[in-house]
Formats: sequence, C-alpha cells, structure tokens
Amino acid sequence: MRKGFMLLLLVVIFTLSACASSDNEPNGNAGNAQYSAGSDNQEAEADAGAANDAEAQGEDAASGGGELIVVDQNIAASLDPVQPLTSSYLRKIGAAEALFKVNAAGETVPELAEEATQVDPTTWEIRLRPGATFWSGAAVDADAVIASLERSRANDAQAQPFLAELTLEKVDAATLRVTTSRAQLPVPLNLSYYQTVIHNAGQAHDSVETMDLTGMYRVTAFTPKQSMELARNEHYWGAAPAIERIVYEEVADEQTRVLSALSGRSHVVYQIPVTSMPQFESREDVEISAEPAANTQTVYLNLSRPQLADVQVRQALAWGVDREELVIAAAEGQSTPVTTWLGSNPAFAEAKNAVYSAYDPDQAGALLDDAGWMLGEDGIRYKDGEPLQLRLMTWGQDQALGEALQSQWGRIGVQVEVQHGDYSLIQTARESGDWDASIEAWSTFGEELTLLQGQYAPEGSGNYGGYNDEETNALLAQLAEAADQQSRRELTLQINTRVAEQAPVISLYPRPQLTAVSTALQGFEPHFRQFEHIVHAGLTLAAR
Amino acid sequence: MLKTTLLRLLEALATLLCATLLLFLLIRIAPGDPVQILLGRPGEAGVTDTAMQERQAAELRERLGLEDPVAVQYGRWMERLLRLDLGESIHTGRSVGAELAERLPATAALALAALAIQLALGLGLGIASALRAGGMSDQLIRIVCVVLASTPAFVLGLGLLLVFAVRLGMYEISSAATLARLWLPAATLGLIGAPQLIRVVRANLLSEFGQVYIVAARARGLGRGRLALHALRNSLASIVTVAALSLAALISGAVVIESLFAWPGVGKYALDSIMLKDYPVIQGYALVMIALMIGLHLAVELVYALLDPRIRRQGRRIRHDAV
Amino acid sequence: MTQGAGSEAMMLQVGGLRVSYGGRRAGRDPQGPILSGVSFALGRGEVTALLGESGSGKSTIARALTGLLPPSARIEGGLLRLGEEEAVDLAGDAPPWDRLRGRRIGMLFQDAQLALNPLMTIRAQFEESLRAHRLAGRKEAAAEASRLLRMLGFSEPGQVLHSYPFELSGGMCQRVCLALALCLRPDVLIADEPTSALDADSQRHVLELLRRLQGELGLTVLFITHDLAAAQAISDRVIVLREGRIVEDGAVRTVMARPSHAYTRALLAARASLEAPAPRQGAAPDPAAPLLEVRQLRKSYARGGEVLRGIDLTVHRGEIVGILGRSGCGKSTLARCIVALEAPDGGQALLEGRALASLPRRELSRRVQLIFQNARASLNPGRTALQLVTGPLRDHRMGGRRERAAVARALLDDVGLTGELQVRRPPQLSTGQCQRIAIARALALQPELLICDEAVSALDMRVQAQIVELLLRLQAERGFAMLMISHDERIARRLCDTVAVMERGRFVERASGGPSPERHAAGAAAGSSAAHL
Repeated sequence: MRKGFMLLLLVVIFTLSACASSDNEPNGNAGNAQYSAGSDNQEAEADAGAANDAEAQGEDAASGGGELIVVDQNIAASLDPVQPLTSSYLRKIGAAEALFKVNAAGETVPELAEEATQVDPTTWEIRLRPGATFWSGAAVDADAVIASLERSRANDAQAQPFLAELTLEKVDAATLRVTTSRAQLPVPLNLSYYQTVIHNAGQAHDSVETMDLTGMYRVTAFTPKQSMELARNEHYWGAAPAIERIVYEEVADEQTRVLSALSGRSHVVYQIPVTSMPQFESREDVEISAEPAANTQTVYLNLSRPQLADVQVRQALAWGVDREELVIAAAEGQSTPVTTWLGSNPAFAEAKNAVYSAYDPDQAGALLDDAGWMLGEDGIRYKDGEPLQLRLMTWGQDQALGEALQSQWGRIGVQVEVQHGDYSLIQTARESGDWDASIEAWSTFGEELTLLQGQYAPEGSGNYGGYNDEETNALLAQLAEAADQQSRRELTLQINTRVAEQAPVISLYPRPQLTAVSTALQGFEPHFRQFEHIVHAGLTLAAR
Repeated sequence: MLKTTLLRLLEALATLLCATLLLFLLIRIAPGDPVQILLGRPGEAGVTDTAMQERQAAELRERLGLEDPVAVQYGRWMERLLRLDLGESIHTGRSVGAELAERLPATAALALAALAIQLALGLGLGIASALRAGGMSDQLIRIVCVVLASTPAFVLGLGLLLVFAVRLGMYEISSAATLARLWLPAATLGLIGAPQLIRVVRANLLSEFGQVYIVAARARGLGRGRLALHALRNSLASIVTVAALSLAALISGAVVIESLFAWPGVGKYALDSIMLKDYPVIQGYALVMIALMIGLHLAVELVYALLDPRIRRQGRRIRHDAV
Repeated sequence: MTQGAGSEAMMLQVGGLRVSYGGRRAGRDPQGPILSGVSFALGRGEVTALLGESGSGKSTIARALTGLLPPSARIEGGLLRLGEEEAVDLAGDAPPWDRLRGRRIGMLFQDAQLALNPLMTIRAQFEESLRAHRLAGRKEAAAEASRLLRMLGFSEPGQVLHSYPFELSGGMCQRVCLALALCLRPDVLIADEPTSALDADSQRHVLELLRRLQGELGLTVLFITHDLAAAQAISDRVIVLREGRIVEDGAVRTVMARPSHAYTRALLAARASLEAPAPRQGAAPDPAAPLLEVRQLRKSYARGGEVLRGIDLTVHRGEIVGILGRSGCGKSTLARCIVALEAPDGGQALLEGRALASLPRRELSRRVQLIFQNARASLNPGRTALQLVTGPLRDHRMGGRRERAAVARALLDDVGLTGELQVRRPPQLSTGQCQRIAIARALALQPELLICDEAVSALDMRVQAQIVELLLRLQAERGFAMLMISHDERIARRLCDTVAVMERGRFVERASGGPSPERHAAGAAAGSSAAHL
C-alpha cells in the first residue's frame, strides 16, 4: 500500500519536472490560434512602420495577424544551417533565405540577390539586394555572403555539390564575382538550394539567442526534433508577412498527422499518406494540396540479367505499363503519368508524355514475340523453356505500386515477384549484383548535365543497371561542351528521349506530395519543391 | 552484506559489458551506412556529383573512425565511457548524453503515469474480479481484458486520438510535453498494460485465498475486506515484479505510443537513430536502458526485502521453546 | 437433534449433516457424499475427540461447522445448534457466520505456521482480531494478547508479539494460534489435528496446555485427530468416523476397552503392531563392513548458529540405524550433508572409505537414495507411477526400454501397487500410495543405503504401520542399509537396530533398537502382514 502511494508521488514529481522545461510554451488549443486584431497588433504595425516605410503594402494583409501552426514529419535537429537538412526546415518556415530561389514554374529567380549576369562561360556577377539585413541588423553584403557560403562549404557535406566548383570573390560591398571551374554552370540555380542559405557566419548558430538569419520570421523558441516557434521579423527587408507567429511541430506518425489535420488545430500538415485521402473527402475545413514533386517513380532494371539485356524486352515492359491505372492504384489518383524520366521536371514539361505516348499491350506483346519470348499455355512467356521472370524490389510506401506493376506485366506474360522490404535490402542486393528490378524516385530538378550523368553515364551513381550506350555517352559529351542555353536544352531532351527508347529504366509518375491545408489559411501556394516552400508574405489566417 | 552488494554490482557491470559488446557488434553487422544517410541518399538529395560524394563519404567515415576495426572502435567507445562521455551523434553532432537527458524526463513521466493507471486498474479490477470469481463482473472483466490485450497499441491509440482529438476536440495533437497532453498516451499505455496486471492480481489473490492463513483468518471472523487485504499483502511481491517489468517495458519500449502521440521521449529518439544508423546514439540509448533495467531489478529486490520480513529479518529466530 | 434429553448440558449439537463434493462441476463425476448424515453433540465443558483416518470426513465436519468449506463442496442438509439458541440451517442461504465465527466457535488448524499470516507480526494479528470484533482497542489488545500468551506458557510475550510467524517454531505457532482463538472468548473450540505436525515434545506440551486451559476456562472442545494416543490423552469422549459415518460414539475408556465396531478394533490393532518390536527378518548386519561413516561432521548457518556440532555415525551393510530427535535438532541437515546436498563446514562423510562429496553425482545417486516426508510433493504430478519408477533407470541407462518397464512393474508389484494403479498419476493416488511409489523409485537402482527422512510421519496410523512393514520386508529381502530419521520414537524403536537420539546438533544417547539379538534370530518367519489400502 505504501509502495503504491510512493509510486503516485513519483509520478507527480516526474511529470512536473518534465513539464517544467516546456511550461513557457503556449499550451494553446485552437482557441488562441487566432489573435484578434487588437491593440498589440497595432503596436506591431507601428513598429514595422517606423522601421521601414516600404512595408506599407504589407499592412493591408497584416490585418489577419494570428498564429500559423505547421505540422511536419520531421523538424530540425539543430539550429545551425550547416547541419544536415536543418537549412531546409529553416527555409521552409520562413526563417532562412538563399541568394536565389526557384519558383513554382521551375525558374530561378532572385531572393537575397537582386540580379545575376553571366559575364563569360565561367564567370558570373551577382548584385545583392540593397537594404537586406540579418535579424541582428547586420547588413547582408558581399563579405557576409562569402563568409556564409564559405562556412557552408567547410562544414556542410551536403552543400558540396553546389559549391565545390565555385570560387567567390568580392567586387564591391554589394557585388560578388563567381568563377566556375566548369563552363556553363548555372550559378543562380546552384545558389538557390537550401544548402546555400545565407547566415551570419560571425555568429554561433547553436541557440535561439545567437543565431542570425535573414528570413521574414525569426526563431523564438526551439526544442530539437520537437517544436520551433517563430515571430515576425520586424526588420525584414521585404514585404512584412501578415501572420504574426508560427508554431512548427514535429509529429512523426503519419496517421497522427492526418488526425492533427482533421482536428482542425493545425493549418498546414505535411506528408499526408495517399491512403488517407478518403478521410478528407467530406471535410470542408481542410483541403488536400496534391502537387507532384520534381521526381520520377522509376523502375530500374538490371541490364546484366540475360532477359533484361535485350532492349526489346525492356521496351515491351515500358509499353506494357498502364500509368493511368498505376496512378489510381498506387497514388490514389494524386499524380499524373510521366513516360520519360525528365518529364517530372516542370522545366521540361513537354517530355511528360514522350515516346511511350499510350498504354499499348499489343505493341508489348509483339516486341516480346520478336525477341523470341512466346506465350505459353499458362499465360507466361517462355524462351528455350525458360519462363520470363523478374523480381521487383520495393521499399517504403511502394508496395502497392509493385503489386500493380506485377499485375500489369502479368497481362503481357511476364511473371513478376514483388519483394517488399527495407531500403538497405535493395542496397545490399545492388552491391552483390543479385537483383532484377527495383523502384526508386530520384529528383529530376537541377543542373541537366549532372542529373543525366548521374543516371545514364556508365559511372553515374544512379545508373544501377549498368546502362552503357554509345549514342547516349556521345550526347552527354556534347552537352558538356554546349555553349548556349538553347542547344543545352535541345541536347537534354535528345538524351532524355534516347534513354527512354533504350529503356534501361521505366518512368511511371512523380511521387505525389500531399499537404493538408486548412481553409482558414489563405494564400497557400503549391510548389513542386514543397518541402522547402511554405511560408511567404502573402499568407493570411481567417477567423474560424 | 557488503560482499553480496559488491558481488551484485560486479554482476551488473558484467551484464552491462556483455550487452554493450553484443549490441555494438550487431548494429555494425546490420545493413545501412550512417554516413551515406547523413550525406543524403543520392536520389533524394537534389543534385549529385557521385564521385565527389564518394570522396566525401570516405573522408567523413575516416573522421568518425568508422573505417577502423570494430575492436578499435569498441575500445575507443569504452575509453570515452570511462570518462562518462557517451560521444556525439553522427547526425546532429550534439552530445548523446545531453540529447538523452532532454528526452528522458518526458519518457519517465509517461511511463510512471501509465504505470499508475495500470496499477489502479490492475489492483481495482483484479481485486474485484478475484472477490467475485466466477460471477458476472468477473466474466465481464475477463472479456474486457481479452479484448484490450489483443488490441494492437496503435489501433487503440489512434482510436482514442480520433475520439478525443478529432470528434470531441478535448485533446491537442502537438509535439509538446505538457500535463495537458500526458493523459491520453498514459491512458492508452495503461489500458494496454492493465490486463496483464489484472490477471496477475486475480490469480495471485485466488491462490492466496486458498491458503490456510486466509481460512484461519476467516475462522477468526474477519471480514471480506480484511481478508482481501491479507491476500493482497501476501501477493504484493509478484505484483511488484509484474509492475517493475511493466515499467521497464514502458521506459524502453513505448516507441509506438510515443510516436503516435508525438510525445518527445527517448523511444522515438531511439527509433529515429536506428533509422539513421546513428551508432553513438543507439549505443548510448541501449547502455542507459540496460543500466536502468539493472537498476530496476536491484530496486525490485530491495522492495522484496522491504515487503517480506522473511528476507528482511533473515535468521532472527526465537529458539528457546519456553516450556 | 439426536440427543433430545439433557440438551441443556449440550454446548453444541449437530444434526443430519450431509456434505458432498464436486456435484455441480460439469464433466466431473459427482463423488459420493463425503458426509452422509452425521449427528453428534458436544457436552458443555467437555473434550470430545473425533477420530478418523484422512478421507473419513473429519475435517469436512470442522469446516462445515464454521462455514469454511471450499466452493466445490455443498452442504445438502444439516442443523447446528449452540446451547439453547435457535438452530441454524447449515444448508440455508446465509447462515449467520459473522456472528458465529471466531466469537462463538474458535478454530485451530493442523499447520499453525501456515495458519498465521506470514507477513504480519503476531501483535498485529491479535490487534486485528480483537478490533474486528470490537473487543479491544489498540492498547488493550496488546495487553490482552500478552496476558493470554503468558497463560500459554510464554515467559516473554513481548518478544513473541514482535515476531513474525517464521521466527517461531511450529509448537510456538500453535500456542499463538490457540491464544488467538481464545482471545475472542469462544464457547466452542474446534481443533483440527492441532498436534499432528509437531514433534513429540511439542505435541505433548500443546496437548497439556489445551487440556489445562479447557479446564480453567470451561471450554467445549472438539478435538479432531487421527492419532489414537492423542485422542486418548486429552478427551472425555470419542467419536469414531469412517467414510462419512459415525461408527462409534462413547466415553473414551469404554471405547478403548471394548470397541464395538470392527473398524475401531482394527485401529487399535494397528497401534499395537506399531508399538510391538519387529522381528528381524533379514541377515544380521555385518559389523566388519562399515558402509557409511560420518566423522566429526559440523555445519553452521550464518544466522542459525551451529546446527551440527561434531556428529559421528556408522552404518554397516544391512543395518538399520535410527536418528531420533525433535524438529530443529539438526537431523534433516545431517541427512542433507550426508548426500552432499549441502557442504559441511568440517568433518566428512565416507562411503566405504571414500568421501561422499567427492563421488560422482551419478555414482552417488545409484548407491544412496533418499525418501522424503512429503512423497506427493517429491513426485512429478504429470507422470504415471510406472514412468516415475522407470525414470531413474533411464537416467542411469540401465537395460533396454522393455527391461526397464519390466523391472519397474515388478518393483511396483513388490511395494503393493498393482494393476491399474501403476498407470495412475500422483494426484489420483492417496498419500500412502505415493509414498509406495517413492520407495519403489528409490529402490529401482538397488541402492546400498536408503535414507528415510520422516518417511512415514505424514501418514495415518494404519498406513504408517503398513509402510513400516513394507520397508522392513524390503530391507530383509534386499539387504540394503537404512538410515531412518524420525521424531516418532515408536517407529524408530520398532524399525531400527540402533537408535541415536539427537539434540541440538549432537547425539545425546545411543541405544540398540528393539531387543535386537532376538530380532536377528527370529529370521524370516513372519512378514506377510503388509496389507495395502
């Protein structure tokens, strides 16, 4: 009896100690999510006005005020932008900015930079935005930008691909010159990635108090991998955002995120599983934004397997895929078919429906007949007594996709075994060479040559199947030498088509990114890189 | 006494050592490479220059000492351990000790609250069901137990979330560790763990009810309540054992519930680290957990001694059979 | 009520008590009635002995009269009347037990140590009882308890009050239980085998106390026992129960002198046979060949003090040696040290000159076997008698499958378990039958030495007599040596060639058993008296 009492006592003590650290956090339910446009809001506006007259246009929008709640599968583990992925979260939530950004159409536009000019094939000049400052008030000048990028180069392994080939030097306080080691490098694109966000390199980025970025919101509280709170940056160089505060929370479980969206407490919920779509159908207070990502669900084929070494078999597999059906079966209809690999990149939208323009099982059958794989009585094709078989490895959420492919290819006489498991199993199988096919989705957005080389050059790290085609290699070499934008684009499309015809991989559709957005939030903009784009000045919260 | 205590401690230390060694080896045998995950899986992290990435990975591996033989790595870890240093996370670069310390209070609060609920349910329903063994309420409790015990944790958790957060709006889904958010995950864990305790309490009480001292107490005219108290007191040791096991499971393994309720405890932290193959974190977590378990076992033995005068007052015996 | 006349002299009357077991449970045969119409009366201030073997239903009577029957038992009929009060229908829905139990009818149990809550001090148990009946507050309770304990012969009641049951001996516990029962000042005390688990001295002591207090307090006592001697020692009247019926009811002297029922006569005869010296049946022990030699054996426990203080003992081939002593004198520790279950602190035990502790386990278990008091507990309940006896043979890889079965069957026949009994499991057998299995099992390996640690103490007297006969016969036929550890002087003296009396860890007296020269001479004349139940 005494023991039970002591346990109870312990519970109380522990609970209190656990909560002591988080007591200063708002306990707020939906109730205090909307601040009335009361007196403290006006105070804020007065402040903003005093700081920057140019914000006048923002004041209309700012009438909403309030607190935006964003829920994500993961949030930052640290505050330092050079730590892995941290900068993506900081940028997504409006705290960090880079020199450039990519708009929803896939074009690179200035952010902290004002303008970029290519002086010669290996030299760019970037003029910085006048008046841009860090939260601390320090100017974002050429020195600060160089220091920031050099810090990223030195500390962030993930920034290397974008910075390794660049040399930075100061021209004057507002201009820097970038020299590239390779001709025709799209410097603005490189400097638009979240890995290159501009931070005050002179500050320690290990606490909320000392970190110093440029975004329209500044971080006011942070618990690693739990929550982050932000308040409007009153010294922001651009248009002031309407919403006053942001709470950014990590909820790892996808079902719980769905419930969080349904409970009406949160305004933006990332990474909604496609299988939860039906739960949102009857809801009027929350909508699903389904924006295809710039990546392509791709079946990689192991070309060293005898049956897959034959291009006709690979083409038959590509013709024998009903992508419309796959999108419905495996993505709840929340994506659109893509027949060539680059098709999911908004900049190459014309490649979306190239080569395999329609589902054609007859064509597939004819190709297989040609290749000597004849239909047996059991519905499976045979050649020299051997059945046409392949083992398809899937991971993550792709099991349904694997099974849909199994059934479609079964219709043209290919026997498919689906093996679903951890990604590391696929890795291990690839290392040992013992695999037939696997599904993966690489990003298709970026610098064309690097992207295509990574996938289709013999030494490319994404070239799992060992594709080595002379014509493709020659085209890649030409692309590396191409001098102007127009010929680069044409060569890129040519390579994309050539690869699709050779079919070392089979492109299916972009992975859908589902975001639940409360109807109380206005101004939400879908973006193909949604994971780093959510907060912008135009968001407002309506009273609910 | 000193000797036994010392022996116990040595034993505990040996257990700890063996467990860490085993773990150290196992996580390195398992497929997956923390460095590759850190640098980003090529397909997922934007642009890639593969050759450069390979080079970087090799450098990073070198810097983290992952290229050394496992024995050397283990030695290095042990050496840091002796300085009470659990090392740094590969992923965040922060001290593992500090990260664990941030999350342990939340887990402890959840575990203890859940245990309190389990004990309340276990004792309450267990006693009720033993007193009315075979009766209607006993049957009802048994059915509820079977249903609860066969419900997966995530199903119950999601169900409760759906009701309390979505339908009733009484519960807030966020990632904060506050009292207002503690009750639902605690209730879920309490409900899931209760059936076992109810069964143990019931079975133990029934077996005690059959003992001569209970019959004798009845013969002295003592009431039902007193009898139940006698029986409970005598089955407390087994109840404490089950409760301790339950607590151990709650502290180390409430991963599903922590993740479901976005409760920022060590379970989710460990799970994330396993996904990231963050060796120092996994090792540190396991070490702390094993140490906790060993501590818990020692505590249980202490409680036994407190509960049972036969252990507490060992050897004290009145020998003179005064005639 | 049977005794209509003189009912004012009657403290407790029972009429037409019928109880049966297991009738309600589906799938189990309703067993026959355990009590079929029992009626008797207890005279005010009298001690009445209720005598019967285990299974005769005597404990059922005790429990039926206090409403403590297990749920599987059902009272089909019966009236209970206390003094002049209105009779209580025992088969009714709710007999007023709250009013009767403890306060009017007190009870003593066989194993007093188990009848006390092991986790409460004696004081707490007194307090609880007294306060439950609102007879005393906290302080008065302690005073009352002290007074009673002193009355029950404790010179330092304070010390006892602060003790836990495990810190007291069996005899002390029984006296505490008696005090606990008496503190509620009941009219009737039902004592269910209160002395059977005690050693001879404690037994005598408790009986004397009970008799004295009964006299002083004018208590009415129902003394339930299987022990004829105990019944004779304490009671005014005796009721003999057999198979749920009363077969004899009369003054002690009358019944003992002129038993009217055949069963009573058989009981008396069994006692006589146990008390008579047994004729030695086998070959005389060979004094030149010491089989077991124990030299200066010492053992002490950290908390329990010195338990063995230099024991010297020799057992020759074919000899039966008895060790007699009260519980706690160290005799069981001696047995455990001899078979190396415990390591002695000093001295050694030798088997034909070789240290027992150094013998391989396998050899040791083949040559020396042990039989325990509680045979049922020492047998795996899931195995049949036959499997239990083949077990050791298989472990020692003796013979083939068939051979082993044949040996086991012969052995079981030999100990008197024949036919269908051989495939029964311990729960389906009586305690005596279990002890027979234990003997067969011990003898399966043809040991040279058999150690019996209180092997018959737990049995009814008639069964005791049978097992003793069985052991004697088997010893005569097979010639093994036997070390017989017992607290029962009659049995030790009857069985053994020599008897050593042990007290506080050393031998205080050695004597030859029965008139041994004559016994040896008697040869294998008699010995077929072993009837089995």
